[in-house]
Amino acid sequence: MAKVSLGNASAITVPRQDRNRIRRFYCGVLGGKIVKEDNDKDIFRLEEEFYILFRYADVPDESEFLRSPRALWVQIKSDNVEETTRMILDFGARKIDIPSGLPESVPYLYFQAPGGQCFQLLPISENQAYYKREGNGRKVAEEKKAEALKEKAMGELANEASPGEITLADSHECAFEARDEELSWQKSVLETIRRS
Amino acid sequence: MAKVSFGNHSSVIVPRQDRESIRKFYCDVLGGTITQAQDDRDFLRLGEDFYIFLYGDVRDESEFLRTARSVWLEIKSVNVEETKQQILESGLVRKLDMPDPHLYFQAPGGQCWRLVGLDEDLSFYEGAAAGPDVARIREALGKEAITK
Repeated sequence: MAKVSLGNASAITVPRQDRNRIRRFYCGVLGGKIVKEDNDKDIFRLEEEFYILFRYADVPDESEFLRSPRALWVQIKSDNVEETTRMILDFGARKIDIPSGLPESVPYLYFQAPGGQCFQLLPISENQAYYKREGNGRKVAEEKKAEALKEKAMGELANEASPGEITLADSHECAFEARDEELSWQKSVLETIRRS
Repeated sequence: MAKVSFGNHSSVIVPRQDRESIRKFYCDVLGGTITQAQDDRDFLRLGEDFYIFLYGDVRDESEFLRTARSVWLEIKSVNVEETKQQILESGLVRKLDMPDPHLYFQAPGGQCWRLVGLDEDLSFYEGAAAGPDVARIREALGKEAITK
């Protein structure tokens, strides 16, 4: 089997009006650099050669959904978490109050950046045994307790944005949406046939 | 200014019923390993990166995730053709028709990916030349939304 790993590029479409704040945040606060820009996009490069492409479009603000853990949350690391935290919060990024699931001694910050992406900020030196299942003994018990608190908070956030049960009203709405989409699709096919 | 870089851990909550197909895809197709499995969570390792799936009684949000309004990521393979074939033959993904020579797809759980070569020159995506054509990508995304 071929060896597969994660790449160093990502992309997201965001509302056009967020562009200025996105630039100020990713460059002014996180220290990124714009390596490419045109009317509809910016490509930022952060340390360690990680690229993030923002496509700007006339799209609705989806910050609320992105703040639920139903969209991917990613991690950034700093060699000075306190300073970076202060800069992020002074900028006006939205802090997300949930436990880290890590030992209390590890400084962290969950926040939502302009454009909607959510991040967990951690120290560069953070020991990653938590993810690699390398802990043992008493430490494991402490970690489990911390994890349980975090999972509870994450679950609550997800359920706020995406209730587990679909109500009757929701199911009707879904049916109507499906019907409208079917009609729209049929119209587009008819239009294509007529043009040809 | 403090030095800030991207970490190698991501997390997402997905519908509980997707667990089996997520495991099959990320482990059997992509060669990842689960370093920890719990009732409501899998820690999945792919190369040096970790992807944490939390399973909950939540709705399927695949359609939204396919709109590129949430972040799309990239995976690299030492053998793109082989990996591409495995991904498509698995029957577990949805191929996304993007105006780009690489394979774009939506994996179980909803995350969208681009497959590239490990040693490939990716400067096109890093600011060299014109870079991706946003207008054509937007058009393709619109088609994806219509043909869901």
